[in-house]
Amino acid sequence: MSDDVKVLNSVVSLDYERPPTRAARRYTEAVGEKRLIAHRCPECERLYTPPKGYCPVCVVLTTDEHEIEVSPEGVLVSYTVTNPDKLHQQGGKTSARGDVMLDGTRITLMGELDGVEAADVHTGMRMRAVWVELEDGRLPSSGGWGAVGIKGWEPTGEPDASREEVQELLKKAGES
Amino acid sequence: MRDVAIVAFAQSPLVRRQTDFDEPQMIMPVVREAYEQSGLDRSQIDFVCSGSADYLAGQPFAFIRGLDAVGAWPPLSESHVEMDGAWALYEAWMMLQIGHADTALVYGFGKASAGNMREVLTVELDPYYLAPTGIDCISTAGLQARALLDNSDYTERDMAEVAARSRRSAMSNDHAQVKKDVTAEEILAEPYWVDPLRPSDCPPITDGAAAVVLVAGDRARDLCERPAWIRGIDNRIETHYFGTRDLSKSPSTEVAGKTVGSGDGIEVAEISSTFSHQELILKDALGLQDSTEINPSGGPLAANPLMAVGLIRIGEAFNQIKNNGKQRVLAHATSGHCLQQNLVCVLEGD
Repeated sequence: MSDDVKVLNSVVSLDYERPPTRAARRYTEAVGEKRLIAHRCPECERLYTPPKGYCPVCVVLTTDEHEIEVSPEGVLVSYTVTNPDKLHQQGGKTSARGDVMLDGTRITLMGELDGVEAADVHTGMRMRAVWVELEDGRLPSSGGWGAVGIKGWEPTGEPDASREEVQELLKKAGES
Repeated sequence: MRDVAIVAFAQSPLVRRQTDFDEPQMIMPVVREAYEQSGLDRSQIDFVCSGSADYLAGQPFAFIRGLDAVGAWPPLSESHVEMDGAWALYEAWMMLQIGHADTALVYGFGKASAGNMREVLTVELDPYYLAPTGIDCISTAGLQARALLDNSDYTERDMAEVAARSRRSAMSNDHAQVKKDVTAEEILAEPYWVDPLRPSDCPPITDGAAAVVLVAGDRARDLCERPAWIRGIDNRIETHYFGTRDLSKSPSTEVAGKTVGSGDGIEVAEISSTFSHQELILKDALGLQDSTEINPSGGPLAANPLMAVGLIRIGEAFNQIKNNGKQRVLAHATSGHCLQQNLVCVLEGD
């Protein structure tokens, strides 16, 4: 670039403040108590966690009265193992992510799998949430990927669900 | 041309900050109310169009979340404009005109409270020459007000009269945010904020949403006792360089107004005069007669939910026909700084 060329930098930075909705506040409080809450749609009975405050399929609002507690444990219904490469460094380690279907629901939550060697991960494993610790009652701002307030999933050590049981769960997830 | 009418209009409470609800929660009851008024359910709506701006939410693709409020399952025919909902109504009206749809839902929404509007609205300026100057929306309005005062017989008292009347009119509007029994003298006693604007010459910051249902043909009469027929709708834009415009006038409003017959027998006009002086500019540009009642709802000076405020003008005009027995009314929406782009719509009763 010639010395005669002058460059004008005009960096724009905008700050926003979006207060959490009532549903989000209650979800965060529950996470602080290591509880998982969801909203159940009064029309189709779908569960949403974290609760949205509405069901986008039926187009109805949901409120505290539709709040239910769901188990923070479930069955690993799918997973993938990522080996470090240029795109997936992950601290240079082989790591696994999985989809856990919460007990008694058809909600799957995705997250890092913790406390198990990648080579030993298999569908049907029983998993439980590894909670994010709140800082002064708030979720830390760098929550990473995955469900809000849940760092990842670790094995409970209980016996696996059978192949048939996992297939039933997956079928349930696909029902509309 | 097909006959197209508005058969339903609903709006949310218009408030300084909606804390408990996010955008879909704010929109959903409004859409539901509009459907109930129209007697149509969502399976009977052929086309959905929305207006919003992701810069208000501060989140990329924030407008997609608006779809949660109308239901995108089963799949629907949908479009969006990054503009006020009034322009979404324009697109929906065209879809009905070309026969691709017989019914349409239009909605607009914004939570201006999330960001600092004096910074956010600077980003909508020309990014090379104007935005880097950092000039904010109150200052550009100040430039326009000064240009008007210096190039016309209007005075600061005329501006104060507009500001006072708007807040007094809003007292009978359940949805309005700023309503006050105030006089022009009291407003003139306020110190300048951005000279020559006083705080009361400027709009509030508002969160809100609105929805309208459009129907083509005779079916509108079955769904609404007094539908409001869209007899003319036009929008025109001017250059984005302030320096090449006479800010004391609004030629784009004038052209759009002439196209739809704004100077002829308008009983009520709901116009997007975001700042008090803009009502004076718009009234002249539209050629409104003195007998025309302007902004009985209080207008944007009483509640200014960005991206819904123009659609609300159309909805309030519809209410004048539906509820108040008016026959010929006008609505105006604006976009950009200093009335850069303007949409004018004339509605008539049967």
